[in-house]
Order: sequence, then C-alpha cells, then structure tokens
Amino acid sequence: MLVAAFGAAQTQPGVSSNGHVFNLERFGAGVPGGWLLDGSDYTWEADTGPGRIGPGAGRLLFGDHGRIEITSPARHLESGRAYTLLLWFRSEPADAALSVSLHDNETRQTLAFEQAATATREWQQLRLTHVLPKAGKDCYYLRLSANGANTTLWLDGLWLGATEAEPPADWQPEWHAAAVAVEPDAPWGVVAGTGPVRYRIRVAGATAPGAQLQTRIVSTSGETASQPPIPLDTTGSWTGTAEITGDIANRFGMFRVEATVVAPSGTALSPMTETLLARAPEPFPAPFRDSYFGIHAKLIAPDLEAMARLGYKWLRLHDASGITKWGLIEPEPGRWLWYDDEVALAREKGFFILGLLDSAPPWDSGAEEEGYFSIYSAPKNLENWRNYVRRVVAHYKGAIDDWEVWNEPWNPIGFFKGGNPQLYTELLKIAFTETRAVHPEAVIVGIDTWPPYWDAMTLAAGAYDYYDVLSFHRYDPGMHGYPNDPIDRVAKRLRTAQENYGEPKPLLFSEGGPDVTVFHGSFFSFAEPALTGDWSWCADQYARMFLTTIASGTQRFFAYSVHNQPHHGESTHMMVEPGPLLRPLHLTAAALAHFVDGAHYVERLQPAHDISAHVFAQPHDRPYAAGGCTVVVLHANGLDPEPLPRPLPADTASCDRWGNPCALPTEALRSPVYLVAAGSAASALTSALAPAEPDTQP
Amino acid sequence: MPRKSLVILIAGLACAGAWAQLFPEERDALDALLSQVERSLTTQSPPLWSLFSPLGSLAVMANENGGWTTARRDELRRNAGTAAAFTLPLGARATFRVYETARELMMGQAIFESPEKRHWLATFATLPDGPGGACRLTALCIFPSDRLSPPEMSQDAVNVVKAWERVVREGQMLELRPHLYPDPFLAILGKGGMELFLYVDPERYITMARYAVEVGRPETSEMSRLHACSNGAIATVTGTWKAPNVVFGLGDYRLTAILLKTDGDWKVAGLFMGTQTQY
Repeated sequence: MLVAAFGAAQTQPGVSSNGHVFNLERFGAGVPGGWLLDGSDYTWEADTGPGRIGPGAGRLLFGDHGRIEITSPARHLESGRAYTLLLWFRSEPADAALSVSLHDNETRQTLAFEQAATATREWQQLRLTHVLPKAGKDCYYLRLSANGANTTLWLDGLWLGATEAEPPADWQPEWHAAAVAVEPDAPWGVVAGTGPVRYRIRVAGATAPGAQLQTRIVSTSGETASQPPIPLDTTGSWTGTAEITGDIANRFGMFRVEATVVAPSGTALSPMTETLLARAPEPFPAPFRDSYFGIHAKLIAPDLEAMARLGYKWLRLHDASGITKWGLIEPEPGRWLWYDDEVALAREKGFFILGLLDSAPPWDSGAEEEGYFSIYSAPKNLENWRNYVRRVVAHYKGAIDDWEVWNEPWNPIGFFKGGNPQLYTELLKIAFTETRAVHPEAVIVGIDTWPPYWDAMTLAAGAYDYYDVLSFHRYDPGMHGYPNDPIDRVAKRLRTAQENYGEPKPLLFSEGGPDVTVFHGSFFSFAEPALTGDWSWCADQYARMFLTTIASGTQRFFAYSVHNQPHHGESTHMMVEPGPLLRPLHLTAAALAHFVDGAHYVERLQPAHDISAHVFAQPHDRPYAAGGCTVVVLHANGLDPEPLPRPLPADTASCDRWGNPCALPTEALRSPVYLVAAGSAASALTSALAPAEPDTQP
Repeated sequence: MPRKSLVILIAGLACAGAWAQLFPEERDALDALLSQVERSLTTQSPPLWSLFSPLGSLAVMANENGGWTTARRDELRRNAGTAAAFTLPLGARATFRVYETARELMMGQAIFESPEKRHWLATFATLPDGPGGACRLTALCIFPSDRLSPPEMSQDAVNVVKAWERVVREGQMLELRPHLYPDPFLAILGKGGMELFLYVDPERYITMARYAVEVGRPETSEMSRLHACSNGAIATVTGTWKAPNVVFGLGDYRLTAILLKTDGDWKVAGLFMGTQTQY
C-alpha cells in the first residue's frame, strides 16, 4: 500500500496535453490559474450583457493611470506551424491602448503576433495568423497589455491555437459559453494544521438553468476526489466560496482544484481551470531563533503569513527587500530611508531577520552603471562605510540583531565590483568593530563564500577575528542528504580552513537552493516538464537540502527565493507560481520543519550502507508526541529504493514526506519518511536502524 | 582482434591516459573495483547492480545485433533480463587498464580479453561512495573492440563532444539539447574545491550548465587530446578541456563521454568531467 502510494506520487508529470492552445475566452471570470496578472489603478468586472461572443466579457475600469499586463503560462507549441490569434476588444471612451505579443520562453524575445491596437467604441477583433519561428525549447508565452486613463475597456475571446495557414475570414473557434476562475482564500493558498482549505470561485458567461460547477481535487499524495457539485445561477456572473471536503481535505501536501462549468447534460460549458492550494503541518511555534529554516521573502503581510505557515522562521533581506543596503537607504549623503513598519511586521509574524550590510551608493563608489547592479561596486571611502554601518545597526537594534557583511563578495564582476579579499576584510573589520560598539550582542556573519579561493584568501587577510558566524552560498539541484555530500563537504572544508586561525566558528548557509525553475517543479496539470521539471523529484530534493544542512552541523539554510512572481514556466530562482501560489517543494520542507525544528540533531545511523536515518531528539510537546520524543528522518542515500535490513518496531509512528500518517516502511526511498517514537520505543527504533556490521555491500 | 589493431588501440588509450597522476591508493581502489566488475560480468557474482553507486548510474552494453542495452542501477537490480545482457564469456579478463583521476571522480578504460582472444573495450567512471570509501561505478560502457570503426568514422562523435567547447565559450548551452540522449542520461562534474554536480536528466544538466556559463563564461575553452573509440553504434571520447573561470575553477578538466548513435546522430548519454585542481 505504501509502495503504491509513493509510486503514484513519484510519477513523472506527463507530457503536455495543452492542445497547443492558449484560451482566455470569457474575461469576466478573471484570469485562470497559471496566468500572471499585473496591473494598477483598475477594477475588473464581468459584463453580464451581451458581449461580442455572448455574455461574460471582461470589463476593466481604468483610473487615471490604469494598466494591466496578462502573461500566459509558457507552453509547448509547434514551431513551423501556422497559429491564429484572436481577441475581441472595445472601450468607452475610445482610445484605450492594448498590445499583444508571443515570446520565446527562453530568451523572452518577441517571436510572433506583435501587434498594438487602439480600442474604439465598437467591438474590434485582432485576428493574426503566423507561422511560428522556433523558440529555445519550443515553449512560448503570450502577453497582453492594456492601458487607459479614465476609460472602460472590454476584453473577450482571447484564443491562440493551431489553424490552417490562411483560415477563412469568418472562421471562429468553438467558443465556450462560460468561464470559471478559482483562487485560494488563504494567502498563497496555504493553511497550517487542521483549518479548512477554501477557494473562491468566479463564473462568467451564459449558464443555462441547472448548470453546475464540477470540481475535482488532486493531491500530491496521488489521490483524486470529486467534490459535491455547486449549483450556479443564470445571471451571467456568479461568485462563491467552497471548501475542500472529504478525506482528501485532511491530507497534508498540495491540492490542485480543477473546476469546470457543466450543463445539466454534463456537457462542458467552460474550459477547465485550476488553482493550487496547500495544507502544511502545524509549524513549530514562532518566534524560534534556533530554527533551521530561512527564506528570502518580501516584507508584506500575505507573503509573511504564508511563509510563517510553512514553518520558515528566518528572513534574509538581501534583494528580497533591500531595506538595509547602503546603496538603497542613503541615496544622497545624509538622507536616510528607514523601513520600520516592514521590519516590525516581520517581527510581529514571528520572524528573525538577517540584515545585510552591503552595497554602496554610486555617490560613494563612483559607479556609473544603471539598474540592479548600480549599487554593487566597492565603497571608495571607508569612513562613509563606517558611518553607514553605525547608523543602520543602531537604528534597527532590537529588531535586527544579525548582520551579514556583503552579499557574494567573491564575485568581482557582479556583487563586489572593484573588490578583492583584502578590501572585503577591511570592510568586515569595520563592520564588526562598529557593530560591536553600538550593539554588543549583535551577531556578525562574514566571508559569505562559494569558491574556495575566497575563504582561503579572506582568512589569510585576517578576517577570522571579525565575524561570529561564517556564511556560504550554494545552488545545487543534486539529491543531497547522503554522507559526505557536496554541502557536507563544504561545511567540512570551511571548518578545516578556519582551524588554521583558531577554533572553527559556526557556519550559516545564507543563500542557495535547487537553482532555477526546472529544479522547482509545478503542480499545475499543464506544466511542461522541460520547463518546470519533475515536481516529485524537486519536492524530495528541497527537503533533503535542508536536511543535509542540519546534518552537516550548519546553523540554518536560507532558501532563495519567493520575493518575485515570474510567469509560469519562466526560468528563474523564484520558487513561486503566479498568484502567488506554492510549489510542492515548500510543503516537503514544511513537513521537515514540523518534525525537526526545535529538535537537536543527534546522529546519522546507517542501517545499510546506502540508507541514512537522521536521528533528532525533540524535547518539546508537538502534535505528534507530548513530552519529548525521537524523530528519525529516513531516506535512501541515492535515487533507488533500498530495503531495510530489519523490520521497524510496530509502535513507531510513520509519516510520509508531506507529514501524512503512513504504513511503516520496509525500504528507504528517495523521499524522506518521518519515524516518531518515545521512551523505550525510541530505543527500539534506533536499535532497528543501527548499522549492520560490518559496513558491507547490500 | 588482429594483433596490430590491438596494439593501436592500447597505444591510443595509453597516450590518452599518460597525463593522469594517480596515487597508489587510487590505483588500488580502481583495481579492486575492476576485479569485481570482471567477476560480475563473467560469473554474475557479485551482481552488477551492487557495484554501481545509487547517486546516479549508466550502464551500456553492446548487443549482438549492432545495438545496445542501457540500464540504470535499479533496473539491473530488479530486471533479470536486463541484467543478463551485461555478461562476458567466462574467463574474460581485464588485460589492459588506463585510469584517470580527477579527485573523487575517477574514470578509466580497460580492454577485456576472453580465452578465445575476443576483445571488448570497457569505459567507466567511478565515485568513492562505497563501503569504507570503496569506488563504485557511476558508468560502465562495454562494446566489442575487435572491429572498431576507422578513426574517420568516429570523428562525428568527436565533433559532438567538441560542441561543448564552442557553446561554453559562446554561452549558447541550449544548442546542446539535440546532442543529449534522453534516458538514461548521466552527467557528473567534479569541480575543484571538492564540489560534485550530478545530473540524471539532460534538461536539468543543460539548465544548470547554462546558468553556470551565464554567471561566469570562460574566456577560453579548448579541448585537446581527444581520443575516440567506436563500434559504429556506441562511441567513447576521452580528452582534456581547459575552460577556466570563477564557476568552473582554474584547472584542466579530464573528460569522458559515452555516446549512442540514434537515428544516425551521436547523442551523449554519459558525460564525466573532473579536475584535480582545487581552485
């Protein structure tokens, strides 16, 4: 049973079933899940009156500076084949502007359908047929932008699909009569613990009497469940809220809500649209300074709430907010920008903050570069740097008590232009000295290495005496967690490197992750494996990355990042779906946090050579055990299932990688499994997982 | 194999491996592994799967109809039919061996000779993740070497590997996608500083390589000492690649590639690169 469950959950997502079409036929329902909506100064309504293809058009009321930008998910299309784009639009008063374009998902270059138009009071249809040029991975995304000042824009019937090279002038696809959009009720769709998982529904268009909303729930555990149908009215614009029901609702992990409007006959009246929801196990209570779990996130309420529910306890600011970067907070000499409300909000949500002492305003560095990297040249005047450190540390004292000196200073062509190990060591020395002077209890994190030459040279330059914690970065999509894995090696190397100068100081994995989107996974049904990878693999990889950080004796890991929303399929470091919505990897990390945060790492047992059993002592009352317990995180070291040499004690509780109760395993898998026992049962468990003698091949 | 051809093959392997600097314990570890491989291929004991690392694996064996059988470790373990394809005649011995070491990622080639004087070329890559630090296979590729393709027939395979040299310099990693065998696939990059990157999916390999090149594109990218062996369906290419930069490190990389001919084109199923230089 256990094997079957995992087998289903670990199946590689299938190939695209998108039918080579983008459609957003009835704008009145809003944008479907997976589409990215950006904009400002507008409201979006459903028009129940007769539109160009029936009721249900979208009606956008622009204010003085209204604008929207809608970006489709990236999808596989056939290059060399003819595609037709259709879009109906009008505005009152006339003159709303809009444009469309189809882009190569890899290069973002516009490849086809580049067209701008000005709306009139009468309906017009954009109608373009192009043969698609080749894209990097044959994956494309469609973008629609519109803007206007105090005008109302109607949009309807967006469709892009494969057609004949010259379709007849009056050709139209078979339009759906209605559309539905679903979105989470909770921030980022995630609830923690046992609360209800709700979603909001918006239906627009012609719904015949007796029409219903059919909803199916798919879980990351491999289960599917139909939900009770929801009756709809015939007004042309229906909104409501629903809650996932049945046994599936109690599962931890992610849920995909698939919704379709159907006629009494069962005929689909709308395309199926989706959203993504999640239930995380109850996190360890915040605040908790010794947590292993950190993230880069914006300091805004919904994002902080979602990250808190997932169990992240620390925030590293860096470019997720930039609010302590010298280059951003002293734009002119002596003019300081403070962000007390944002910092207070993060602390209210239970987070500790790792601030950044880094960057330099161009007025000091002399940088002439524009844009993101304009602040990443080395400071010229060290007294200005000293003043900055003193001011920012003193200002945020008590709210931010941990400071990392510079982000990725080892990169002299990126984040530390004009810098070198000697200069960095000078900056570190000043930062350490000034911070100690104004905030003696503050923790200084230094070095921030990746390539070995950087830690070797900064330590040789005298850095050792000027930090409390040594940090490193690493992006690596490998399946970590095995003995002597790359992160374990980095930790060992950094301890050895410090031994030449004194006692090794604690280590912090202050930025990294599985790297870009193909290593993140997506739980949308339409996700292209070539763009978003295998979500099941990614979910295991991410949790194991945190796990190996802990096993290597490193204080914590700050994953990068969730602070921007890319379009679905875009290759970025953002582990976020449009919405924003979650990716499954956050839920396996949440399960790990649920079980091991607050616990002490004891040791790694190897019941067989290719199996790791990480033993934690959990002294706190937790939902899975009162009065303390032993938690064991069990996994195969590699990719293959490995049989356990001995059966596990029957009185051991077992949970899967999402935190759901499961049968006691008979083999270790790529996916972590959590084993919980207390008292004598804990001793029996660790005995069952004791190394086989001697260490031999299975 | 005609004696002259065998001598030429050995000379080629020896020249390609002459660069290698091997510690005695590394040679001993590889010798021990190869002895086990020898026994496994000829007597099926120990089972071949048990000699592979679970971190990532690629097994390729030429078959009698001019094709090949591929497998990962778990398939060798669970599919007796697949495992049975990886056999050599009883008494076959590894008679000539050349090893390359790039810290923990070690590679090599060996010529197996049967009592009937038939020969096979085995190309392998290993990691020291076995019990007690023993070497285990990550890749093993075997094909008959008695009728190797003439060098000009192997040039196409060399050219595919040479594509890496150019695209890294030009930052056009996506151009490699058509050259990658979809499944099974294994790429291991053993960097200086004891870093190890391992990919079992070509899409992930391409993506990571692309970003590594974007962060620090090497100013120079030069391959040398490329040496290819092929039976027309399977090819191996070994050589040296110099592409110094902040991401790749400063050392020369030793590389071993395993290619399979699919629909007339060579595709890389295994790519193993490592450097001895720490920085």
